[in-house]
Amino acid sequence: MSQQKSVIQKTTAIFLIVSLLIGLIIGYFIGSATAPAPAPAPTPTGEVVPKSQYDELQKQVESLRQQLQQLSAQQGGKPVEIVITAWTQGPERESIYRHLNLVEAANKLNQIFQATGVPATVKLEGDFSTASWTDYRKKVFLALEGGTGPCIFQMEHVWSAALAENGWIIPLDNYVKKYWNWTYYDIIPGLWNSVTYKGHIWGIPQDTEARPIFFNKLLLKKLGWTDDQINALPEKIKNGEFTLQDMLMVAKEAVDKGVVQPGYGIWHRPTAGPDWPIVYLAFGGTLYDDSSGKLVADMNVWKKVFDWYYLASMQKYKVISDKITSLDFNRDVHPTVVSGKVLFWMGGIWHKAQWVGSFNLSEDMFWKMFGFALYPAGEKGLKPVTLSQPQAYFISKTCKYPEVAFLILTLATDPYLNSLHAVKSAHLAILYSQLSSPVYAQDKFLAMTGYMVEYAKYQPMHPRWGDYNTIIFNTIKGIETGQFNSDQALQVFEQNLKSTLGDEIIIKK
Amino acid sequence: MVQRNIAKYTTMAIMLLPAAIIIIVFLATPSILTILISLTNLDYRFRWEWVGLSNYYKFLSDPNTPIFIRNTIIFVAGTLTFNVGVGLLLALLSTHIHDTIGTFLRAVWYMPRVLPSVIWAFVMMWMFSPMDTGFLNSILKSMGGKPVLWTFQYYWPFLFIVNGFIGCSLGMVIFSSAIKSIPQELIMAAKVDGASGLTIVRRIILPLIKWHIAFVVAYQTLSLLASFEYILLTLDGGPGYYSTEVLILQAYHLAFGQYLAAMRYGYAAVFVTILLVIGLVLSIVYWKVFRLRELMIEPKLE
Repeated sequence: MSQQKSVIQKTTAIFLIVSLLIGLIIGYFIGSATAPAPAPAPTPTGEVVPKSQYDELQKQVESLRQQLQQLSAQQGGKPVEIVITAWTQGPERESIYRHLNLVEAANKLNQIFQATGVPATVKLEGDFSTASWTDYRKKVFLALEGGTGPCIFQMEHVWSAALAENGWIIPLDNYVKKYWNWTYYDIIPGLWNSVTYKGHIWGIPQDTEARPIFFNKLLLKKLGWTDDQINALPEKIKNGEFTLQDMLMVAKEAVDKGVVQPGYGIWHRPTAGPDWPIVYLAFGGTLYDDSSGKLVADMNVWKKVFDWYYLASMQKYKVISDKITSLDFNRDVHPTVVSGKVLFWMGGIWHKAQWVGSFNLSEDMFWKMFGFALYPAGEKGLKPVTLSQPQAYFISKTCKYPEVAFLILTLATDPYLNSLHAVKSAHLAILYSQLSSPVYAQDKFLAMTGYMVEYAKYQPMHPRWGDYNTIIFNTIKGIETGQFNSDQALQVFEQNLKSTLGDEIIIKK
Repeated sequence: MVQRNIAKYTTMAIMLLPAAIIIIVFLATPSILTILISLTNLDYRFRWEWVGLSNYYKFLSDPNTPIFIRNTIIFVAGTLTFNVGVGLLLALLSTHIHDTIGTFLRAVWYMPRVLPSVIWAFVMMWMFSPMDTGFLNSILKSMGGKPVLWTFQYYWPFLFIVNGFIGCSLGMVIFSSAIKSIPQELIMAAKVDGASGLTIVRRIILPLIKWHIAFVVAYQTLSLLASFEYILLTLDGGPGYYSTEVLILQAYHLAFGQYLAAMRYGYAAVFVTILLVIGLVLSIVYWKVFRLRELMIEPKLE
């Protein structure tokens, strides 16, 4: 009896071990088959320095050359070996050029140093992170605080405030002025506002994006709109003729007439993020007071915002579903929008790249189904808006060769290199020359959304902005899930702002 | 005589040293540091500035605090009931059927605990998804019914199930091994006397494993007070305004942020310190009420 049992036990054990091994082997093959392909390195475009500007170049790198010549003499005449560390972040792999462009820039800088006789060689060592933003930022902040941070790092522009306040980065005004004619004259002027804090420039813009309203053309047609009316919509929004109220009423009409299911009129992201203050900005609100450096909450405008969300919620017009904030972005929200069930989508331009890349939307179908425009003005007399969150490169205070690092950033801020990044990851141009670069201009979508950058507002650069934004998200979540009406929301909102931000915020009534 | 005592105590000290080091380094020191941090306003500036008890005043006066406390009580009480109840049920069932099947049943029920938490949360969110594409809703639809808004309307039962499936396995294993070690003579004697199965359970099995039940209750209450992993991965404090935000989850959000890293370490440490105090008080209460000292002295079931 026990012998039988031990035989059974042995066979079971062997069976389990064998199936475990087989499972491991299958897993290995699946893993290696689905590993992402490495991105190709960009090819350089020939001449780096036109001969005609050679003298000018000599003059500009003169001070740097003298510094490095001194250093090289101290080291016994050998060229100085400079290693610049750089940390960049996606998280999506499509943004790999944020790293590759720095590598290419270092190569170009070596060629310039050779041509102008600067005794130094530059090497760029870096990391491209695909972790979540929260994890990446934590890593960078802790490294900067511990003094082991990289020379160059990329981060969202809003962090200029916190980074500068903590003394972790250096102001770049003098360098920008010195090398203005290399590339900085070409940067779209509004972008400088996104990296200026307390009167100084702290970062170099790396890219930008816009957050438009995508409208479903097929559903509008079902609602009775003509093709001309549909195609004229972005223009009407731009002129301020079509407001958020109008958008709400169109969505209500679609729900009442059964063109969309209740709750599928307007959809937005299910998570916290930069988009939440856009409706407030569309109603003319301001978030930041330059003179005092404090955050601002205009309660009259917030009342209008909460009224709008309350009317749109399932408690009133049934336009915004109460379930959205409990859905999963990739599993539930994107597939629903892509399947054409939603009339208005408050999204970002990179969503087009995601839909075509990962959600089986053909390029053809995208143009047939979706139109895109700015967020309409809140009421007549105001202007349409969008929000951009440019990424920026920063130079840390512990960098041993800040000017060399700055030159790398300058050479990476190049119309061709930046266009490679913009097209691959669906971000917008930061330099005017990019708009006529063959790489960039090919992309019809980027060309048609480029104008939005001029209407773009930015998140306030205050170290406590994150708390303000989270309170906005939580309050709107409460309205949509039916816990608050707009007056209760306003009360809870004000309570939270006061208790969390205290005197860092000015509450205007 | 004295030398023998010294030798005895030295040996004891050396034996206890590794465990003592681990407890001091990984439990005592972080606890003290957390309490100290709660008396500062450590935030994104990484500057250690003492502010005394002002963080605690903020905690008491914040209008959201009662919401967190209420959620914590509901979460701990509900999940504890599920854990102990289902654990007991499974232990009783799996010990009353054929041994191999019983073991297999217990092994299957142990699997959620072994799965990586992200995968478990992902699977649960899909199963109970309020959308038509959720697992349960697709089944309902195919049978002609209407989809139910599982995670959206019934979020507390959902959380009890998600956490409970993980938690009940501990109780199940402990209770089943306890039940198995009950001397068979007792059961047989009861059967001879004509006791029904239910009576056996009520009058013999449950009283004999009451120490194990007490232990599991004490252990899991304390563990649930600090458990936020599955709430974070599934509902993240939602679906509405702080609907399922428990104290420890709010501490996590304050310190490590919900998209924009908040880094309010000082204020978050207040939540953790208060939970630490509650945990200590509850431990003492359980120690006295369940007479755990007696439990530890002699093994209660050979």
